[in-house]
Amino acid sequence: MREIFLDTREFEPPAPMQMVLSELQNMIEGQTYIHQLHRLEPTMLFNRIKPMGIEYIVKKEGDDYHIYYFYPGDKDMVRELCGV
Amino acid sequence: MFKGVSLDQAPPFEAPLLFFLTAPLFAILAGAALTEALFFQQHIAILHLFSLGFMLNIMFGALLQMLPVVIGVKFQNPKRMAWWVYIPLNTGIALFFISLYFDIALYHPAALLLLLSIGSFALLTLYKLFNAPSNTPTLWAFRLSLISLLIALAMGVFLLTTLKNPPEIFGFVLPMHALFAAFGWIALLIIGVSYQVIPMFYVTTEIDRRVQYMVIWLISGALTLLLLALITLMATDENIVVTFILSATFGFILFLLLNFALFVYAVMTLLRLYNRKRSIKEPSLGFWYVGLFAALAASIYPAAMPFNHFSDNIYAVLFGYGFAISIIYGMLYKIIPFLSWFHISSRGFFDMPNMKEMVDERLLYLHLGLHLLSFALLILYPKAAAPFIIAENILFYINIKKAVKIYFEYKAKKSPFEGFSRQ
Repeated sequence: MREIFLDTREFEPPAPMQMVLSELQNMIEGQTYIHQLHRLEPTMLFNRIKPMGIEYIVKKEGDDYHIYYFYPGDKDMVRELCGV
Repeated sequence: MFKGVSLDQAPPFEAPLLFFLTAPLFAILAGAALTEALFFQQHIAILHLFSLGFMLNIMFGALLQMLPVVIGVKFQNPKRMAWWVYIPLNTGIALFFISLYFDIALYHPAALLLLLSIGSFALLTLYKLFNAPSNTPTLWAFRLSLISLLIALAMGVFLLTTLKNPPEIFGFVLPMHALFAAFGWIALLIIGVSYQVIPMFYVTTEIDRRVQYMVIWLISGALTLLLLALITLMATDENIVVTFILSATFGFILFLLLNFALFVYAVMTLLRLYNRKRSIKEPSLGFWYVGLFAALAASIYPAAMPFNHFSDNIYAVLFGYGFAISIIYGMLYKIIPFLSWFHISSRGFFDMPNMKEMVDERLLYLHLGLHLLSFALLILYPKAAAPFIIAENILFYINIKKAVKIYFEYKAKKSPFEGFSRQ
């Protein structure tokens, strides 16, 4: 699977949300997932993508949050790739 | 498959907006009332226009908006709930003010309305918060803030209904009521919200979680000890003078502890802002700096001041107007444009103005200047602050008008995604 990587740590809102929402339109089931590196848990974005049929995993490393967005069918593969 | 945007998940912006737009009216009224105030009771009435009228309205609005999106807690019908709380709350505040300022015997209906509105909202929200799916420092700050609000409310109702014929315990309950309201309700709520909005809006790292929890538990612990002391006092039958001296000493030590927690919070937050990753200058940040430096000043003031020189008035201005109200303006100037943008974009629009275009930064700086002037004058010569308090709140309406207008303009439009996302 191909990773679409977004480092949004130094962007003010609403840019991080816009960047992820924009990339979600390019995400293809079974082929790609999004990996966002952010300074906090984007709870408003989580709230927004839930009804879209998108799932996510959050991993905290030091001060940073790694958030992985994917289609439900890709969950096992993404978990394996991100080591969660 | 990607299902596009959802038209249903965003909670209605009208619910918090109702409270956000009402709050400054009470601040304007407080400014007007300040010019004529002579007696202690009238100053208490004005103080409550700021605390209940301004801060509590903002708090209820913010909780209605933040709980679903930050904590994952939902109210069944936020708009209806907002109105059910809004009417008795604001009628209660108005009656409270009239009864104290003009010395008219409306204490009991005011107490009843405040008890019903604040009590029901706080209890329902607490129930939801204790059933929230996750645990974070912000969530704990919200829970403890609402518990403190309920305790301050119960004490406030007691004080209000016994005002004309005060029992012996009145003098002990009064400072407790003030401490539970100031540190328990107001400070914990601001701290909890700022743990979320400072990293989000100002591109900073989060404060270490252990420090976040330490601040919250220090405040809650000191307040719990104060409450236990009051209960013990009520249960014993000691000489009132001895008891007063003992409780004043014990109370002052706990007061210093509360201020230490405020000091730690202010220093940690200032360091985060000072070392933030993108040092963009903007007026909302100015309100945060004023608020945090006022918090620092308030936290140092009791320790630096000999006991007999401590002024309640100066402390109240530093804490209430300097710390709490400055930060509330700073938050609102970020939150209102952001929510306007968020609600519009949730409906699938992409052509709306961005957040920066929704406010005029020059007018925000003008507000910051007026606010600093009001703050300084409230310390030096309170009556002279009145016109500036009125002016800054009228300017606040002017400053947020564009963001609110844009929201309602787009609300009236048909969503470009309508018909697609529900397939």
